[in-house]
Amino acid sequence: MRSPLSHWRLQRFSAILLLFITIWLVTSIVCIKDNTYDEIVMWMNSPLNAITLIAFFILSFLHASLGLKVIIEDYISNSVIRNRLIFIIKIFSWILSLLSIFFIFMIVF
Amino acid sequence: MIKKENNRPLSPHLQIYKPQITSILSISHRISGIFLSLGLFVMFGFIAFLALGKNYYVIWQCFANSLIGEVLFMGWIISLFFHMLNGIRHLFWDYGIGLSLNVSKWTGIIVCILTFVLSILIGFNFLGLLI
Repeated sequence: MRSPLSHWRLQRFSAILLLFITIWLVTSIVCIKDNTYDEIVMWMNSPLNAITLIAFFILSFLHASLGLKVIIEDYISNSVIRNRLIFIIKIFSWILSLLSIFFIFMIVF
Repeated sequence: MIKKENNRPLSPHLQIYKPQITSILSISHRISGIFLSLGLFVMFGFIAFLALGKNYYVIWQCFANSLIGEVLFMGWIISLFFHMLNGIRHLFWDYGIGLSLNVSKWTGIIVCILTFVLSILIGFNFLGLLI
């Protein structure tokens, strides 16, 4: 169980990093959106792009799960359902962020 | 333990409030956050289809070029810019800047205008309607 303070800090820390990463991501997507499969794979083969994309997925899943946890805590009064939902979201975000790293490695290598 | 927890106050639900720009933007921040979580899941799908190879990537392209895909992408672009700009507002609040009623009302209006402008610029570019 995370302390409320570290939850608060992690939420802000990931927000600030994501602010920069997302600006980079939106500009990149605008540039490569019409590219073919091979061109997109080539774009991801650049180490800088691959590393930033991995950082994007890890931080986004973290930020999303922290945010959804707060919303669930605020609006679901049944403690059993609430805790179960929070647990599912936590596990889900961990699995998906690990899988996305795996997929990016699969594309790069 | 459970008994103690049940006594804790819940957030006041939406119907209690008279709608004001500050409260509308506050709940929009949460709604856009939930919607963007869904978008993150779709981004994950993109990476997965890309990793699985060319044959599977066609499935992604079918989704991305469909009308539902384009409407969803536009929604995610609007949500992303709103969540980002309003998030900056939140970060300033954390340092105690801009908390007064008047200032928070005006920064809220600025967030709305910038969201509109950025969404039109990037969104139309995305759908190939501009530039």
